[in-house]
Amino acid sequence: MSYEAVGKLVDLWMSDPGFRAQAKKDPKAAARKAGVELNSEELAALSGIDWSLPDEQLQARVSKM
Amino acid sequence: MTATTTLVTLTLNAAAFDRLLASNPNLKAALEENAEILRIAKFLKQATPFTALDAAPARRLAARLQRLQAEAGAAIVTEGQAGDACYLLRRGRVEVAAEGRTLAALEAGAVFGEAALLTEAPRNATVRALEPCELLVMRRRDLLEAMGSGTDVGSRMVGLLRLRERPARKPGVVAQERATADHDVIVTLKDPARPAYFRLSRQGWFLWQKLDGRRTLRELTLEFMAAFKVFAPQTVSDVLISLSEAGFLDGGRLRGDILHSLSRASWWQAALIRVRRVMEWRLSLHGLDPVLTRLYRDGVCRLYTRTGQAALAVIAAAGLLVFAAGASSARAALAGHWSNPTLWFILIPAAIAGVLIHESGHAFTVKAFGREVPSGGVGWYWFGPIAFVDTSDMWLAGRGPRIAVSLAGLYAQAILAGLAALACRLLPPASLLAAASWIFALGLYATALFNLNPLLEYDGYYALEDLLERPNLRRRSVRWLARDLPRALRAGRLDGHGAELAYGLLALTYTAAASALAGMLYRMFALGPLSQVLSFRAADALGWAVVAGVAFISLLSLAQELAG
Repeated sequence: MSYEAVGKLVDLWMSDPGFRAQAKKDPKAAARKAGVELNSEELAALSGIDWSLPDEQLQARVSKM
Repeated sequence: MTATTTLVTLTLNAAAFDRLLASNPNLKAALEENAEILRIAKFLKQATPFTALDAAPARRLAARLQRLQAEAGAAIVTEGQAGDACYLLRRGRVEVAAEGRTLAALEAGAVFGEAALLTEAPRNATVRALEPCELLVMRRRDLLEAMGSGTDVGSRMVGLLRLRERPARKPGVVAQERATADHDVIVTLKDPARPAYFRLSRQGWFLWQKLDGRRTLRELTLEFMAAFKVFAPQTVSDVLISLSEAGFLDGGRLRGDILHSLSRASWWQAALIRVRRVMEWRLSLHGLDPVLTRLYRDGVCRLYTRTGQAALAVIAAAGLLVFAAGASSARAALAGHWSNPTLWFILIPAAIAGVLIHESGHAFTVKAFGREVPSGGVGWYWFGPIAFVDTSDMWLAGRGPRIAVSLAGLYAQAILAGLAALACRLLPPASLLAAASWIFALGLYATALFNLNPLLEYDGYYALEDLLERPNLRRRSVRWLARDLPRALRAGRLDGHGAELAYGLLALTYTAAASALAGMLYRMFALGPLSQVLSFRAADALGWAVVAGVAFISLLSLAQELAG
């Protein structure tokens, strides 16, 4: 996996809100538009994101009656 | 330029204008200053965190910013020093370095030094001019004013901060790993100082272990991609922001004034917060755990042995059978006692004892699983008084123990109801005590059923969220319905979110049903008596106001879950 290309995408994602919005909707198109060349493994990685990971603060459990 | 209406123009040729300026140095200076402010405002509108500013606030901000020139090689900010300003690079290039390592080169339009404005932390890097630079200096008061303009300048600045910082785990946080019912691994973090809890997925746990204060979001994203084969800067960023907001990261905490400015609630959020504060009022008693631990060790633990549990199960089952078998004859025997005030002198303390035993059931079951009960107390929950115990420490336990704790209060109540039903059977049939025992048992069984309703945040709700392995089920479902349902409908698949869909729809249906029920109860019991006092039309209108009020409060509550 070419970290140089992926690193460029991360830099773009960090600096450009427009890229962030587009990457969330269509990551492959966003990468193409940014002119970043990715191999098939990297392209697959772009669309394999689970946006609903269960990482969250747990609310207090208050047993009441 | 083409005139679209008849107009009159005044003309000043360049030579006359130059003569005017030459003879009025003050006018010349004022015009130049104004032109410069307009140029800075235009620049601000192009610089990322300020693009959302309207023209007037942008001009006001531009007028307040100081201009600074830096020679090549000059340090603009120095690592480790305190700072109260951030910088916008207008012309030139700068180099960012920390701990002797070059991190980045920034060009015109970049913003740096924002961490010192937003947090109490010292400068985390040195920024040096690579060539002659022109900068704009923004002080905290300028930022606060820009944040007060109603745009998202503040959140954009905080976003910028989060993207650049090197997050570190808060010391003292303990982690407990366990397998879920579908064989996934999750980790629960506990900050014993507060206490607060945070649930991490396998991916979140991977990130947590990397948060040593040396990696940026860029490095974390690359390592995440190497481990999980996904490009997920948004996911990584979301996890970091959630951890930071929950107070699980060290340093980088936003300053009070910034936080206050960011968390300004809309009118309806502020109204709901006030309503909830009154309707969900609590008086907490801290330091309960040592007392409960001693009581558990000194005797209560015997109830949690096999023999003890078998005996309690026999009482609960036998009592329920006796209650069900004697229901029809008991009702007739009660008839003569309703108007006896002594009955209520017995029932009121008995009801209080019932509540205490219910809460003790939760608390001692927590102790039986070796966890803590940090607090308990009394309060008011929407339509009536409550007693409560905090069983949050069970987040560190597995699913079975959590369900057991959630249902332990109801079980204790069922045992007490069983004892009351058995007492009713043993006492003389028409006696006052027999009547009180039967009413007491009935009340306990009825409130137990009410408590099992998973659509209200009582014991049944916690048991259901544990059963489904969906913490924060209510919030999660409401948010999923509002944010992800359209996407799921377009894709034609739920991707494992069936529980969120079902619970969210049931919660909405319940809101409608609760409003209708409130209206029905009003018409059955209140409309008649109130019609005697008010006119029928006024009493009827009041009924509709009750229905609208219940619906409004329920919907506001759901909306607050959505807004977070």
